[in-house]
Amino acid sequence: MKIQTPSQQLQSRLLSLPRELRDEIYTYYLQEPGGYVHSPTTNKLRCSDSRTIDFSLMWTCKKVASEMRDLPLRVNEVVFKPFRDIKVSPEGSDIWDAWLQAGKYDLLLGRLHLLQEEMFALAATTHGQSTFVLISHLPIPNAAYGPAIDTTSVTRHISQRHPESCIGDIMARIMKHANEDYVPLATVMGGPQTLTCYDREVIQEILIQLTSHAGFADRLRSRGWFIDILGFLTSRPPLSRSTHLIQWEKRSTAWFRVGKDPVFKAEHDVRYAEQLSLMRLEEMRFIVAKTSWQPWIVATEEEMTRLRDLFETPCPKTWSSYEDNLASLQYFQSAASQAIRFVNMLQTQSRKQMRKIKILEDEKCVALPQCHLRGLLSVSDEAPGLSVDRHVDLWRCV
Amino acid sequence: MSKSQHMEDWWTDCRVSDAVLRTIIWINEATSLSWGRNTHPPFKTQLIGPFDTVQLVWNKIRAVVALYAAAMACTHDQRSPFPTRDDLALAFANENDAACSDPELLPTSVKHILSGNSLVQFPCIIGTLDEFEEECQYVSTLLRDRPKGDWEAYRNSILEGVIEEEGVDFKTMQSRYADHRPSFD
Repeated sequence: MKIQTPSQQLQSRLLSLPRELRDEIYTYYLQEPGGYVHSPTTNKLRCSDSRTIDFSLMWTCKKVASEMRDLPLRVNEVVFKPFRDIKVSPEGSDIWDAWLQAGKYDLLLGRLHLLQEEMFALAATTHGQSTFVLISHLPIPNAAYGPAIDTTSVTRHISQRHPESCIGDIMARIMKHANEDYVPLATVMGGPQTLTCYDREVIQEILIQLTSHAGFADRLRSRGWFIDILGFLTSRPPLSRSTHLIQWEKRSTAWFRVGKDPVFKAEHDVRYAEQLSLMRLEEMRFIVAKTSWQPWIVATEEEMTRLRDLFETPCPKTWSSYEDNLASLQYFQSAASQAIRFVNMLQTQSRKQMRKIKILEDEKCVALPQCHLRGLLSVSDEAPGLSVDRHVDLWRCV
Repeated sequence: MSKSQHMEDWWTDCRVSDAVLRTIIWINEATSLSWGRNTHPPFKTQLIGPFDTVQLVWNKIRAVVALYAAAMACTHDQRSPFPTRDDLALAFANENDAACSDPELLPTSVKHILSGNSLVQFPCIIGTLDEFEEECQYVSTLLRDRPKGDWEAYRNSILEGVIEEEGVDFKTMQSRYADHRPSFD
């Protein structure tokens, strides 16, 4: 390829035009009917008819490249769709290895939320005590405890800081049961589905503090049903509980998905609550309270394994019944999560140029897809000209 | 209805109650995007589908929310079976969770949708704010001083039935997602 000298470039008819006119030409050249479409397999963009994007003009010289650099994302809408990952596992893989990341994440995220909600209710129950310990961040389990404060202050703090969230209200309702040993969530809130992602973030904000008081792990151990949600069998038959702790479908789904039912759990998978040391429970408390997964970003294998091992023996025998169905399972990651994945990969300067994102949610997706737009809030703060249009198909998606 | 029959129906038919509950979750999440912020983020969520489906789902949501708004008004006047705001928040909690821990949230969201000041849009005939207020007033007059059972029966009458759409096979669509298959299958 012949390289032009700067003096030859000045003779270029394009570069002799005023910049405004050149910008018009660049825009006309770059604008694609239907905009760009995201390809989840490569995490790159293509034209809506699957052609690769033509940047030939950009490569003619450095000056043109520099002038056009910010335009592609500025003049084209970018369309995102759900992504179905496909995994081919070698024969003989155990069920955990063969299971798609998205499927594992969906299950574990649901369980993590159940644990955090129950832990929150247990911690917020005053149990005849009027004080909790508040520490911003505990570096390690069993760290020293800080000065105690009144739960009323915590509730007031939450209500003032997050007036739109129902968590302040729920805490206030819990406090009305001051003399009870434990207040089941069902008596102070609707089902878990009534909590928004924002509410969960509020719980997360206070959970490590609320559970840091001395003796919490002891109380945890005394709560057979709490450990049961962790996936352990307890000495109490699970069906004899009088309180309906969590919404039936959600709980059943969690059980169905791992192909186990506590009543029929195989004997060799049983780990009784009483077998857990206080140290182990304290470690569990810390992991559950501290794990802050953003639903729109699938956790890493290491993070998921860490949480999984709180629930189960590494590969329970009962999971084998699930193995037959594994090949037919379809897990989609939401279109919004793909948009977040793409913009996170961009450099800040490019991200700021984005003007229009279209998100087409037309599949049932994993990990609370309803809240995934939240992951784009920081991008919209950074790119003031950005607008995000999400289409949710009622039949296919809701 | 037996549990297995209940599951079978859940699998083969798109029940109004399920569709309404799930759509409300999308509305609540979209609404919460502006919480803790000074301005609305530049986001829009459109719930799309065949026109009749969108219209039906919206009509049902609006009717359920009119019931919640009426319950709030009657509680305020001390003429409902829910003596306090807390009772009201939990009033329908056992009814498949379409209620919310914040009783004001859904009525406020629906009013924002009706006034075009919402992050959520339904591409159908959504009606006007005045019509919604009239609907709330009607329900309030109908159920004022009535026992809780009457409120629940009214709510159930709104949410009964299934949604059908020509050319849409719900069971086939469900089957795309094997993970959602209940264990009886």
